Amino acid sequence: MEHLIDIKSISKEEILNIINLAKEFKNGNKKSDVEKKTLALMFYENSTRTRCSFEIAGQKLGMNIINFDANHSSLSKGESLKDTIENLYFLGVNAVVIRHSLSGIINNVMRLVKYPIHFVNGGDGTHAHPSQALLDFYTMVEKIGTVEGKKIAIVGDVSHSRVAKSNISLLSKFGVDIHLCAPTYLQFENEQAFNVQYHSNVKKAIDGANVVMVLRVQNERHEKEGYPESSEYKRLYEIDTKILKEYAADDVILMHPGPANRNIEVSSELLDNRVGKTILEQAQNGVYVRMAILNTLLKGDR
Amino acid sequence: MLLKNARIINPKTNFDEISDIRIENEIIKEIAVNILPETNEEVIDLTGKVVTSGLVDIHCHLREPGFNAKETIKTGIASAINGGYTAICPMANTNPQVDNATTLTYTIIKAKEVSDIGFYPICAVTKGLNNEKMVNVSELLDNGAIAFSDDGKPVENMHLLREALKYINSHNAIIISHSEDSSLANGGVINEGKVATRLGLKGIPNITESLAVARELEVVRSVNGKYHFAHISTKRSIELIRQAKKDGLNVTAETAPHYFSLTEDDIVDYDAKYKVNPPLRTKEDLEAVIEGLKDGTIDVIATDHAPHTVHEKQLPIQNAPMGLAGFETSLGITLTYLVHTGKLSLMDAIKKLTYAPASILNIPNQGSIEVGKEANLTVIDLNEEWIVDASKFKSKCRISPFDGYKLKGKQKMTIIKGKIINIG
Repeated sequence: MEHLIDIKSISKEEILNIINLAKEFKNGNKKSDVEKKTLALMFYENSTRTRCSFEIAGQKLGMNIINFDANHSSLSKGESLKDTIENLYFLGVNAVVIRHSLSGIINNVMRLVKYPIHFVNGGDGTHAHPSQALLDFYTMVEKIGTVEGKKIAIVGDVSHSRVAKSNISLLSKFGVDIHLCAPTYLQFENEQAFNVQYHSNVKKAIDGANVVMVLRVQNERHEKEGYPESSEYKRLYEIDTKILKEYAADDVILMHPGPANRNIEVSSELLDNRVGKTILEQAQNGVYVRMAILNTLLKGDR
Repeated sequence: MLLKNARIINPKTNFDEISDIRIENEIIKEIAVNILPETNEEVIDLTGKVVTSGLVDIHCHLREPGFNAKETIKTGIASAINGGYTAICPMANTNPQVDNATTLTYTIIKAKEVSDIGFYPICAVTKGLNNEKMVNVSELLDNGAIAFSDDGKPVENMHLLREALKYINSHNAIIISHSEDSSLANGGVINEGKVATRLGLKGIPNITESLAVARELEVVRSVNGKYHFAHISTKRSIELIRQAKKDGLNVTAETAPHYFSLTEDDIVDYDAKYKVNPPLRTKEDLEAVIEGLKDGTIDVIATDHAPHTVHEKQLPIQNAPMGLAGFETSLGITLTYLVHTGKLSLMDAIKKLTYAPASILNIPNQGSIEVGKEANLTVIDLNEEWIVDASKFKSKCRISPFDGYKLKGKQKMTIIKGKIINIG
């Protein structure tokens, strides 16, 4: 594995290797193979969790971290991403994590960059967020063991969610029963794109679910032309303790890629109770999974 | 000059026979079997080759003035000739736009400097392509305009479209429609469908086109106008045009080679070389386009040659401009995907590349092989297999979704006013 662009491009075996390696890192049984390698974090879109998570993962591995300030870089002077990355390579950077608002920007730039630098997708537009899907999968496996045949309901702004897409991609490889739930205006434009169950009724979607993954519903979307106010969403789709208790499996685990909008897509009360704690564990697991990703990609480099 | 033993295809008269053609002083003098060469007459043996009236493209973009890095009139014409075209009709969306007699004259003079190719500019319908003010129609026609179109942008003011249609038709000219509803197209990158959803790209729904076709057909119906639809790409648009023709409306339509050879499924790796407007559609749409070509709903195959710089086409697909280089692959794609597959007869395919476009725009001296007419001809090897190499295009746009495609059938000579230009 040289790059991590999307889940589609990696095999089931590669996924399991990352999960197992992450577990070893978490248990303290594994030492870094990538000390002194240099990692650049190129975040062109706001991010707290993913950026900090990669940074801490890199630090734990003994890597040098460059926190590239996208807003004050030469890109703001019009330099292309390709030129920036080729320069970073010649400065000694071994891998870049890119977060960007344009879907496919990493596929685009990889076609143009002529030097062997490793690319990690830190979330591109509405396309993919593979490290998030891997840490979600890690958390599910940790909590419920085997996932095959288990039901997951993904509820929220599906249409704009790279997290949903990467999770669908990954969980499909492992035989998970995937249900997506959103109002029509937040559902995928084309439902044939993925072989999953689609719902507009949240009760049906989460009925018997072993995992309920809530997606952030972006307020800014609701302010745009053609959408109702966010209170319309909350009325029908907010996940709270009551609805989980009534419809989901007894031992359901609640997940959220963050950042959450309290009392819109998920109730504040639920976030702060025992069930909501999984979301913090998710974030913690993210560090180990990202250590595993970086170690896997870079360990073969001289 | 004597062209010997060519298979002459002339759709106007449904003529398909092996014969000789004598050309003298730019004019076709004689068409007959076994013409004996005169002393010192140049004889070109075309045994095994097809000769048609020169290909006519009624939809292309040459980018000059204003966007000379993408293409110039000179490189655009070189590309057209390399594609077998003897007449081209460039669209008006240059900078300044071809909405005034000065710019129109400039382009015609520029073209004349480099070639005798039939050069028939299409002028804007509205000043600045801004949907507000109609151009000076008669003045532009007197200075060489062949038709009117805001192509690149739709005319979305229906009052203006209706008035322009009445007035332009009253001068025996037509409007060519870029059918698009901009509120639906807004920000879209590729066809709305499973590929766009998977890739996380904003889709352009197919009603973007058919909605515009439907309302424009109502405008045409209301004034009994003559109207031509450019680059038709969807099943529903074709159904609407088919019905309109049945109802007796005086409408015609064109498609472009990429709409009967590529679909959204061909888009790989966010590569903007596939980005075009209208977008590559679904297999169902592609099949409807072929059906429309077969039953005559679609009259014309036009290139929609829309060059951009390689740098622009390497931008992230969301930021890259729409458009493909079309001249140099148009005939090869048509022969490979329609004729050699048995979907369209050679006669019909040639008709849609020559006689039909020349007739719709009333282009003089093009569209059919006749004694007494200018010798504008294309020589074709129907069976030559070749591989598209975009790096060798005469166009400045050396990037193409067909790069590396193996095609069967190739233009070999373009003859303009009796002068032969050999093509490799």
